[in-house]
Amino acid sequence: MDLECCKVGGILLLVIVISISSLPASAVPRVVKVICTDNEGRALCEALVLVYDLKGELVFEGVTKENGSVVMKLNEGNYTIRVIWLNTLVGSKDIYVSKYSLTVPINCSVYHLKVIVNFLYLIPSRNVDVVVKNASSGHLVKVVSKPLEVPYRFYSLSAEAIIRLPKGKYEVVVRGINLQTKHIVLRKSTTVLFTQVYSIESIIIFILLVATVITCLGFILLGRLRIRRLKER
Amino acid sequence: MVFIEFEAKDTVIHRLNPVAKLVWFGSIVVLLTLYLEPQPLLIVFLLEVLVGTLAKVPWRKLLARAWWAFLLSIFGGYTYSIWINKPSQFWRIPPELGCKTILVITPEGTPLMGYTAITVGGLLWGTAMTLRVFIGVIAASILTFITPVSDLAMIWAKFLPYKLSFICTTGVRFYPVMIEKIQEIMTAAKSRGWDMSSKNPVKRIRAVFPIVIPASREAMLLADKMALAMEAKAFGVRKPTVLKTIEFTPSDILFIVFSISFTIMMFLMWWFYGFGML
Repeated sequence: MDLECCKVGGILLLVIVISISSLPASAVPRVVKVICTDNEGRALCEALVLVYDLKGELVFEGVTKENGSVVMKLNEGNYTIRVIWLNTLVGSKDIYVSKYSLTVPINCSVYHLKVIVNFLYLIPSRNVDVVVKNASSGHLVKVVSKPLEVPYRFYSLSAEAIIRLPKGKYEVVVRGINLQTKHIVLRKSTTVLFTQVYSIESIIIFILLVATVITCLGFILLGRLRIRRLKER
Repeated sequence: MVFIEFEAKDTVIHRLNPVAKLVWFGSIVVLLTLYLEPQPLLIVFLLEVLVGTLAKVPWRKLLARAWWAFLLSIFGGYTYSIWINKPSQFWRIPPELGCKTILVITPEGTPLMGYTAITVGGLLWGTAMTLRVFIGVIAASILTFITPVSDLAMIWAKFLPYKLSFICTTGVRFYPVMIEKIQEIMTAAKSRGWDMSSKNPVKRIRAVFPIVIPASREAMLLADKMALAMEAKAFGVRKPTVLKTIEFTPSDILFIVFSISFTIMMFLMWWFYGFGML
């Protein structure tokens, strides 16, 4: 009886070992981590990551987290990863998933567009809206609402908005009390300066600046003139 | 404290009426209370130098008399700045920049001192504090240099009760007189072998007595003479006749507008853009 049990057990063990070893490697999924960064090396969050197999079938679809990463499980084989940002393909990479876990960094063609809104180059206009449209399709790409940030600097003041965009042609509209439009072709990280848009605070400061300069000069000239006249008498 | 006394000079600033001068001084005081960063204070300082230059302020004389105040402000400002090293102490400057440590002086947990370090934010704060004292001292000196005490008294009399304005005026007016008297007493005491060069603080305090007693006597005598003169002139019977009236020339109006518009502009830049908030 004992011998029979040992035989049956041995056969079962053999069957299990044979069945596991005969499984194809591709059947065991591997962890693949895709990290998306923009052209400046910053994490690209909320980018759509699509993974296709060799047949062109979609095998994974996910959105990157705040650190720009998305984790998926893929079987052994060749895949194509595509990254979509603001409805535009910004990155693509072919990978081969082997027996080991894999981390795939993708540097996407997403650039920084720095919009500076300084009335007459000098006075920041904070209370403005920045609207970015696709120049070819006319679709709204991004809106930065007022007020803009005035980042800390030692020597200068400027109202700024940093917008991350895929490469392409854009129309940037800055709307304060008046509006100014500029067309740009984004091929690398760029800075665009708007100098004719004014908001309520920038116009008040401008008027006060003009009043300060005029009254200062007027006071000096008038005072000297008066002293000269008194001396002549 | 008066570092430089009034000198009657024929300059555009001296010719201003006292209200315009006080408005300018008031605007400097308002701006000094706002800023914790050196950048806007430098602008205020430049403007103050412009007014001082127009008034032909004797800068060397001012520096010779007020150097200790400047040194004290540098020492005090930068000493206190070593405690400016926590993110909660900064409003606008990014904490990672403000708290960037250049040199740790005492580590965390040090008794009494706590954590002290030279940080970027601390240096900015220390520079601003030093500049504030510089600007304040120079502004006060320019005001006393360009405005006779009688003019200030005339303005005080407009707002304060007559007796109170008289007390204020007398205090300011007799300050240089008392300083002169004390100098005379000290010279006389020195000629009799009086010495205050000891480093022992007890001895130094004792050495002051021969000066304090005659100085107090002089002050009382002066007050007595003053009281007699006031009584002879029937002080307090009724309000005295105003001898001078304040008139505004176009120069005064321009200077007042200049001071006010500059102050409002700087205030709005602080309010809207955080300029000088640290």
